[in-house]
Amino acid sequence: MLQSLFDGILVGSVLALGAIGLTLIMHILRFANFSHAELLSLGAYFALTFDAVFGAVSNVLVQKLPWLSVTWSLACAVLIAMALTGATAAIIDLLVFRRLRRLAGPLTMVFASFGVSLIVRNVIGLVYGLRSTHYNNDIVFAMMISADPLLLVKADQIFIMCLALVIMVALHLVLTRTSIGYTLLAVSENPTLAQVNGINLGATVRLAWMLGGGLAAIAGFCYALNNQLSPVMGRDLVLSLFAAAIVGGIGSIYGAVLGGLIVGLASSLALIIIPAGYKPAIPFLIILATLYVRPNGLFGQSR
Amino acid sequence: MSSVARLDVSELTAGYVAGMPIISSIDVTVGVGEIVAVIGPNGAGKSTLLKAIAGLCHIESGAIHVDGTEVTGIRTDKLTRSGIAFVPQIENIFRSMTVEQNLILAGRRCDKQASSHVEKMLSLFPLLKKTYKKRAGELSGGQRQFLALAMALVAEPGLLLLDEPTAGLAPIAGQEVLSILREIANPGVGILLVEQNAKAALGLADRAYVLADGHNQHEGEARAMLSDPVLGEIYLGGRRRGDHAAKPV
Ligand SMILES: Nc1ncnc2c1ncn2[C@@H]1O[C@H](COP(=O)(O)OP(=O)(O)OP(=O)(O)O)[C@@H](O)[C@H]1O
Ligand SMILES: [Mg+2]
Repeated sequence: MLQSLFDGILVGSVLALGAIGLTLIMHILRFANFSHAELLSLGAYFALTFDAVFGAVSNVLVQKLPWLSVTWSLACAVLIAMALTGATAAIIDLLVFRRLRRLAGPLTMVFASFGVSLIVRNVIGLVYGLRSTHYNNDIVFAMMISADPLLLVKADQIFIMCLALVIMVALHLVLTRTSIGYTLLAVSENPTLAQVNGINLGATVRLAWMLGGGLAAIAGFCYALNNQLSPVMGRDLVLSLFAAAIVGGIGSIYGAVLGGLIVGLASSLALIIIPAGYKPAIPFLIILATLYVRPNGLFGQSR
Repeated sequence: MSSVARLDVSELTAGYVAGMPIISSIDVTVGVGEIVAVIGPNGAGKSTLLKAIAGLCHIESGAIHVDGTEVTGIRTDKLTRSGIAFVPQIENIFRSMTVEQNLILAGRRCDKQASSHVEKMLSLFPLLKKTYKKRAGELSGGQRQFLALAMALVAEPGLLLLDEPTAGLAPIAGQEVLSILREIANPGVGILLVEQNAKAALGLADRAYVLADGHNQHEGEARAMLSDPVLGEIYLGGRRRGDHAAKPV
């Protein structure tokens, strides 16, 4: 039970990071972007690549951070991965979605996003191979925090939770204190009124993609650190991400955080009751239940 | 300090979908410091006219000039930053943000020191002081209209486009808003005012246009129109056509 709670919060905080970008883009651009989850994979693999690059460049960087299995080179690589994934998201928008926004309807955009996700997933498979891999092949042992009830925790997992928390607090401060934050809030609530208030919509949309992509990269890295890297990790995560965004209410960043935690906890606690094989169905059930009870999610506004 | 601007709309045909204009060949001018009212029945295209000027509609033909510079179809945010403020009829505040955040965001469009302008707005609309830290979505209808107006004024625009600023206000509050408009116009700010309450609008404005079915129906001195018996029928909705009637957009 305690272990399930811990695992749920861990998975939930990773989902929350991924869902923030998804909910922002879905709300601002009014379409369900099924390719968002692939940005998580992309970010995770970018980090893998640059980890190798930095590791080859300097011996100092291959040392591990205290307690963790993460090396300094991997930490630096994550920063690069964030920037690159953000840029990739903005470029995909430029090449695919922006054109379709002008010429086609929302349904076309959704289908296009399926297409984009297939392309990204297969390119990753092509470049990195289909086998799953790890950042670090050392075996990391978990510490036993308590024996009864059982609670096994890895230092990496604490690190992931703290990282997610720090990022969410930082995001909260940016959104509530800075003019960039106001701009994002304004555009995600009402793009037309935002323009009327002098906000450059195109630039803000690009910013939202970069932010969403950057957060997705961190989420992907955290997920891969706790599990493994695999070209299909986006496919495995996409439903949970959507569930998190829908539970929280499309467009609500705080909703996405709460939604992520709810989905993470529900998936993890449900395993106490139901066989593990049914786990992938849980996000589905959460989506259905939310839409049935609160069609706009916990924080969403009707429109 | 306000920069002042003059608006010339000529032969403007515009709508929401290409090939389906809502307003046709509209001519409107607003001189420096002039208050110009646009009145007409529901669905006449008054909001569409303002939205077209603000760059939010599809323009088929015609031209819009501000101080002699053509701004037809200009991107809305650029128009705003050039000193033209538009207050939409509905959804004119950010509900999820606080009053303070709304004002700061709106003030940012001018690069000047926004905070001093925000102070000025709070003294112009003391009501907003009490609700400063509240989320705008929690405000009453009247408070929202004041906030929307304050958001337009905070950047000291040279030209104001107002879509029914007194809608939903109690009569006294409505009067208060209209009298503030006169103060705003005095230093030279032009105001294009769409109003449901034709009597009040004509009482305040210098000139007025009557719009019906997307066409200029009449224009003239506001005072003269107040006492024109034929126009009375239009203000009261005499020209309203079945399918357009009473459909607030
Ligand atoms: N976003 C839109 N898309 C398509 N048609 C619209 C849209 N908004 C308004 N219309 C149509 O344009 C016509 C004119 O509407 P408009 O809102 O300009 O009228 P109005 O004079 O402002 O009316 P009211 O007094 O009710 O505010 C109406 O027939 C309306 O149905
Ligand atoms: Mg209207």
